[in-house]
Amino acid sequence: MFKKLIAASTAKSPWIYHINTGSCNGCDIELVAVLTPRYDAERFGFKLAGTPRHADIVVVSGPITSQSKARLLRTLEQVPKPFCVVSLGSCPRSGNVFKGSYSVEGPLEKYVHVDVSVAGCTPKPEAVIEGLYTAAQILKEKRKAMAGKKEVAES
Amino acid sequence: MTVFIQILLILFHVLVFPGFLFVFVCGLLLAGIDRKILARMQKRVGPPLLQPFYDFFKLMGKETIIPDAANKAVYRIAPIAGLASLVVTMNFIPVFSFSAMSFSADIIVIIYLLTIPAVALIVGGSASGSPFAGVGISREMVTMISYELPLILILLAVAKKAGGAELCFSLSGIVEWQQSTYLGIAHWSLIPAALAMLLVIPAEVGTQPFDTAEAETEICEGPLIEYSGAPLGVFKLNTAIKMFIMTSLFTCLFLGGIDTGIVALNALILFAIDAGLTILCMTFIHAVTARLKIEHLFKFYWTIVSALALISLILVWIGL
Amino acid sequence: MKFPFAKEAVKNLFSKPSTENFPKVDVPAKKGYRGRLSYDPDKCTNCGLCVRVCSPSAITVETTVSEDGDTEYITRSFDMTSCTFCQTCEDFCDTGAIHLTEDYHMAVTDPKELIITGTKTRRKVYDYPEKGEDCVYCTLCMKVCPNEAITVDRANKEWEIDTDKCVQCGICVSKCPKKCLTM
Repeated sequence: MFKKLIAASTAKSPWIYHINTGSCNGCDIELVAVLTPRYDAERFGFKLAGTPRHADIVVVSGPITSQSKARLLRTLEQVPKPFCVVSLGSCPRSGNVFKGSYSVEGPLEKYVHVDVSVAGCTPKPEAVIEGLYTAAQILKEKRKAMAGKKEVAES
Repeated sequence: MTVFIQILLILFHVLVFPGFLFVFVCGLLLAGIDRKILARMQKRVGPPLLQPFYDFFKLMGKETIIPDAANKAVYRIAPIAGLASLVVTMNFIPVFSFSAMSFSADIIVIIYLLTIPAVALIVGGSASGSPFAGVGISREMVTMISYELPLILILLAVAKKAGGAELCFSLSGIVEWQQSTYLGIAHWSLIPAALAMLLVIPAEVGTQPFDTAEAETEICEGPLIEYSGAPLGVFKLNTAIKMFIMTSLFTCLFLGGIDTGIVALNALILFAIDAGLTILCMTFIHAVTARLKIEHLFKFYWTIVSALALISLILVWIGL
Repeated sequence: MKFPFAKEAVKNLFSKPSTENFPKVDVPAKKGYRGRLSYDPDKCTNCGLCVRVCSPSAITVETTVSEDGDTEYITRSFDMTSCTFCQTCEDFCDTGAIHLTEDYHMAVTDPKELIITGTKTRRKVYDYPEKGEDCVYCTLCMKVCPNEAITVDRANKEWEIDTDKCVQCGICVSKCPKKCLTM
């Protein structure tokens, strides 16, 4: 009975956790600009969470550098399911101008399945809102799938 | 037979009105109003009014991960203990003329019951086994000590004024006294106490500028850092319910003279007054100030706010 | 104790919020915004300059020839997931085949939607530029060639072209000051 309510609420209240794995900070600025009065993502329920344990959507920016790879993997293990990964900008997808460097450890797709990618260098805040909104809908499908699997496991 | 009906009545009071269901709906609605009005003050649209409900149900659907270093039983029980004590507290507070469990020593019981949610946060945080949580709980303890002193002085002042020679510790007795004379706040000697109570409410709820314990950007959410899923949902619910209970307590102590005959209408008027109080003492102060350091918070409560409450107590004691 | 924001907070409570109504109403980007790329294969001369100047190496070319050796299919792919949107390719393209539009809606679930390709079909030509009589060995053709196919030795008055590297783009023919190159 509560399943539909929980699934509907999951799409309406996604909390964001942001990880910067060595980016130039351009995409980080656009992400926090999304929470300012002009673009206001809070009207869809988005909120910045302080710790990965409270997060629903993990937003990653920056090419994965050697120094941040271990921390990124450890943080991703701490996020409770169901969660979505959004890659912000072109750095996590391919390394952009940093590809081939001695300390860039390759695309994010190698470590975790990326659900939504927002291209742009840097993407416009409206594009970021679109990406986050799509991620929230994917989250709802994941929650429904999780609830269905639990039912099958119990029966 | 009558014992059976009495048990049913008590269950109704604890679970429906003015117990769990009533505070659940009213508390989360107040939290929603707080967020929406804060957004409008900052010139943006803001989340819908039912946003805290969506947050709560979403958290019920998330997986709960308990860290290895945590104490599993305490981790789970802490939020529920806080919720239980808050539901019982609401039963003691009269909704204008209707009161579920009021008796002659209400205020003393409430003082003890209201410390339990804060202690539950402290215990839950220390059961998490994280150093950030350790910093958070030490700050929460200092916050508790700072606001308990003015709260007790305020309650003593009102009790003395209501009772005369023998202090009236019963909340329904205080409401009756207000209905027989005039509104509590209209007695001019109680005005400093009302001001002090308006300043105690944000600290007890844990909203800015007094939310040093749960500082999001500095210590990654303090005691709640390792919480996820349903226990986190219950902790957030506790915060929302506390908003409702503290503002209802203020209404009962200082604005309790109104009474229509019908209980439902009384409950609606109580909710409307609580919403107004929330906007005045919580949202407005949140919008215009920044977070205080813990030393400044302690100094503020033990000097200015306690002084206001003490002035009221002295005025009441010398008979004015 | 001063609260400088207090009056403004109360005023904002009663005025309209300044949020733009984004997903319901589409907001256009400002003029000149560098967004999604558009490629016109018909205008392209396959000179290869864009591949050379792209800093994240986001442009790749693939050439296939049909069985009878008559038609050439040149496929150029622009990878938006690697692009910096600097517009250098558009600046260097002589014919204007590359243009960065003002479309910023690039949030996708499938990254293949972000690779923009275009195929140019042309008759395979086997002739290469030939030097005429009036050549003064000014080395201008060597400087403008995008693939460095021409080598000119001014001292020894030698001019030679590497037919493997030449892509028949025709830039040397148009830039020669004596108009002595023919193709």
